[in-house]
Amino acid sequence: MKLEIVGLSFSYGPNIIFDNLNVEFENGRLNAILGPNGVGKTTLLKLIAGIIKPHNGSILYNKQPLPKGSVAYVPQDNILLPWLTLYSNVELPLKIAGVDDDTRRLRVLKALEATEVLHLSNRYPKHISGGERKRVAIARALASNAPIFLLDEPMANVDPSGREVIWRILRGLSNEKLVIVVTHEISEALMVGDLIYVMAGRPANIVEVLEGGEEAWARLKRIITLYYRQ
Amino acid sequence: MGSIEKNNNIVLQTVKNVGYVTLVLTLACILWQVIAITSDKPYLPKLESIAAKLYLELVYGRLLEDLVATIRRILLSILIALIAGVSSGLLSARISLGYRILRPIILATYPIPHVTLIPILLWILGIEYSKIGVISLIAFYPIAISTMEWSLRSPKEYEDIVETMGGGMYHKLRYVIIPSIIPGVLTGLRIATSTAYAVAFIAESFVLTNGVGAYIEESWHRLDYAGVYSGVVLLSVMGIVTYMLIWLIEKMYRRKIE
Repeated sequence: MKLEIVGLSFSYGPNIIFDNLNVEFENGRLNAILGPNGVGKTTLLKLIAGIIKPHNGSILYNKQPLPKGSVAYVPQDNILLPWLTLYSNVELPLKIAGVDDDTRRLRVLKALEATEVLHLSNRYPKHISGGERKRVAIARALASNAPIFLLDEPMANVDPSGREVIWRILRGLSNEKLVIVVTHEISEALMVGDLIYVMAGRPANIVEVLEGGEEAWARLKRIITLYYRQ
Repeated sequence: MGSIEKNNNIVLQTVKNVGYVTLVLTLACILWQVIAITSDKPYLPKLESIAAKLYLELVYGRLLEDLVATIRRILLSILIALIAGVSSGLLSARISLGYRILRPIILATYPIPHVTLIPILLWILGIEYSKIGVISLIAFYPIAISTMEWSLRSPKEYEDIVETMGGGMYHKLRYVIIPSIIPGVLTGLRIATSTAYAVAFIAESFVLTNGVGAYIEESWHRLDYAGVYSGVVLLSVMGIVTYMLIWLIEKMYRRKIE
């Protein structure tokens, strides 16, 4: 299973974000996009999620255009609907997809359990911590059964123990889903990513793709010196 | 645990607010009684005369029928204002044509003293509907403006999430847009209903048919001072109760999400 971005171009007014961007993401590995703030990481996620449309180019999953509802997107902020309980938040994609009551309940409970937030299911988002909110958002993505997961800065504003839980969940997920995590923090990219895509430049491009692990650190240091200070 | 504490806080705050209102009303009653006794003027009747009149008119007189007529008028007007206000507020905030055309019209016509339109509405809508028309018109503005403001400040990310789930406009309306404007609608509704009682009085006393406004006006012409005060007390109590009720619902909803 492969997500291909082919000849993608996008701009905000005169500000060109991508010009003929080509990149591929694969299943079974945790893909992390690393880049400085404002480079276009979130824009790329929004383009993949279909929230904004590219001016040129295409986004293909298994050589086909992405079908509706195939992407579970977890934005950086405002990730849960504040007027719904956590249970209802997780249930939402299933309701929209028209899944029957019994199946819905089973899938929601399973997802809440997998992300270790089942005990919070009757609460509202404002009454839990940032890390717990992220986990509920991941539970929602899990319940939706979407094959592609997009997470924007999933570790931001999360305490170390919460990061550990999220990391464990994402690692488990990456075996069966295509997971793309966006971050501007090198430590987070190293912690999460099996493959680290370094995004830099204006228009932005993927300037390096690194295997995660200890060797990546030395190479990242060189890349950062080169691109982050531009 | 947190939500229990918050619910307790709401109950505590409500009890406090009811306590304050009761205290202020009690003090006002004492002050009234002192002034009524010391001044001995017929237009300042003692509390017991007003209470007796209110009881007699409600139980044996026409006041209950008038009250029902006024409430029916207010409910119908508020319903019209609610539908028109929420629709206009949403259109003004979410559709570019609405933002460019409808929003300036609403904001520009808001300061007009709409009560002055009663004679014109009387020609156009007739006796009964002119009253409903003017109450609806005045109640429309706070609801429309508040809906507009809340709709404009709702984060776009919520709709993006629903869109990525495969949701269309119906899902966005049901799960994001409507729930996000509820606090604004309730704020507008609270202001609108308080104003509605005052406007109902003006409209009913302008076109004398039935209603508490008509009852007050007729009592005033007959120099029935206790009758005038009975009507005033009744409208005031209704206004306070409605205001507090909507305030409580608003508070409970906002506590849940903020």
